[in-house]
Amino acid sequence: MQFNVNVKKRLFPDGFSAPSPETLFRENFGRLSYFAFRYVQDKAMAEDFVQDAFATYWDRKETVSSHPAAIKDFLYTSVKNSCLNHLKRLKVEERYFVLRNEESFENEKVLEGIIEAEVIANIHRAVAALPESCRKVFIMSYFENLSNSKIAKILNISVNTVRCHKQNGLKTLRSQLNLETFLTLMILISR
Amino acid sequence: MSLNPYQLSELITRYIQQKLSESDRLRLDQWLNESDDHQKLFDRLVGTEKLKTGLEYFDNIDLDAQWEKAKARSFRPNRLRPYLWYAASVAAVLISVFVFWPKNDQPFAQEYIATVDRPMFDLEPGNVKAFLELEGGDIIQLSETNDPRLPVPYLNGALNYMRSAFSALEGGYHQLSVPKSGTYRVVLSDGTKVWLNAASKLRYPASFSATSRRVELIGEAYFEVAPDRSRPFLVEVGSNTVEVLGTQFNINSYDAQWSTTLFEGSVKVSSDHASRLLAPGQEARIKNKQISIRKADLRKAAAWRDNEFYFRNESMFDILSELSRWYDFEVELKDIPSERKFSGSIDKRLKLSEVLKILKSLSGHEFYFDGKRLHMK
Repeated sequence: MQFNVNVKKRLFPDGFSAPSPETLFRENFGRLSYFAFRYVQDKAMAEDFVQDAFATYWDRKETVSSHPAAIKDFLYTSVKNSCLNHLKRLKVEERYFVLRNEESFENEKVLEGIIEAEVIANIHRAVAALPESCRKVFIMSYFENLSNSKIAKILNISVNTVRCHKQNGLKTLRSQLNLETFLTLMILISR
Repeated sequence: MSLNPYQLSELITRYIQQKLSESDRLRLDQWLNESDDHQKLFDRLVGTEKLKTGLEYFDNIDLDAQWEKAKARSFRPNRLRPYLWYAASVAAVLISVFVFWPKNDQPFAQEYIATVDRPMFDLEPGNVKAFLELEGGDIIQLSETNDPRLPVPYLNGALNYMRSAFSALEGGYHQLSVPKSGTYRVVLSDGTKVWLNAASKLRYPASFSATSRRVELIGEAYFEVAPDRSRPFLVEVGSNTVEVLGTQFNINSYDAQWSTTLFEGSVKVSSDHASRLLAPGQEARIKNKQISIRKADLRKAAAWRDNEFYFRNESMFDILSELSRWYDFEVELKDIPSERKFSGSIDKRLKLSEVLKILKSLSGHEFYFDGKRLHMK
């Protein structure tokens, strides 16, 4: 059984054993603080709320099921409550402001917030794991506005992009590029 | 059907990476069709705008500093309280100090306090435990006892779906998650028996439909499939499929290269590009969508169910990987040279300290723990 593995890589990233506190923290801090930031719009405060949530969790660890989803539920709920309490305490000038925020704490909206935080965190982790050259290709290609004048540049990048895709599976890049390239080409041709 | 937000996020992430399996695709489409809001959220997330600002936010987090802060708050060294899951094994700590470090001649009490930051402990072997996730999102903790609150009974050492009242439409999909140091058995609605090894998950319908029997696997499982020519039995592992016809086989999918070993019957293994047929006594290995067939080491594939760790010409890394799943610890990879190979068999019911003693006499290596991480020298 041959096995090639990156020295730092964890063998079971999807939570089969109760993770060490540090692992649990490093994996979830970012996403939880992003989730809080969406509510309070203050990075330092968001981070404080997440620190509180972890401290509470470790303090009452034995009352929470060790299933990874249960732990996340606990942490997200903890952070959500901190945000809710904070917003309630804010001096508000308009009743409308308060009402609008209360709606955003409804279950449906909270779930959306969690999904958004989780997806972005997962992608961030995937991008961070890419080799430097591939990361640059991904960032340049995914986020740059593609205009006519950059088509040549795009075509140059695509060779590297293909190599990076084969290595790392961030393939939506290719379909995006192709679509925009195609459209741009169509515009060019039709002129 | 409701998925928890973490499962949904995983699906959406896989969509962005184009790593969706067929079942994943179905589940994602089902969720998208449930409501316009779902579709809108999805579109926002896969668009570049949200992703770009989101990634910037994450880049600006100083994770190391935050961890130092958290550590100082909850794990101060002068608090004589090691991580909670070590607290339960205090008795084991007191005894095992002598077993692990026989050369240590410091006074005992001093040794314990000095090592609060680096707790020393022994680990028990695995036992029968798992989590069952139902269609509605409920999660039930499972053990060896039958509980009337379980949706299906636990009979003769397995969760038994054969005589359940689920119709194919009602029960939906269940997922059995076996954590590290766990093991579990289940009998599916058609009578197929499945043994699950530690760190594995099986997703299956509570009641198979009239036309097919399809399950999904992560990790390792042994199947004894009930014969039914009218319904092929398929096991999906990532984007690959193993199709079977009344057989006994083992699938080990812990690594990037995973394998299917056939004991009896016949099996067809398919990746995206190719299919191969297996005969009993053969093993198919799949890596990067390539399938290769070789003669199986049947004893190796069956060992885990026979309460045995069985190694034949394997590196210390592979041996420790398997141990880490049964005893639930992590391995410090850079200590381990891969050239030397070892063979032998060890009883799985031993405590870890005893297993490590055997490995020490086999290899000459010393083992020690730093937190929950095993090091070798």
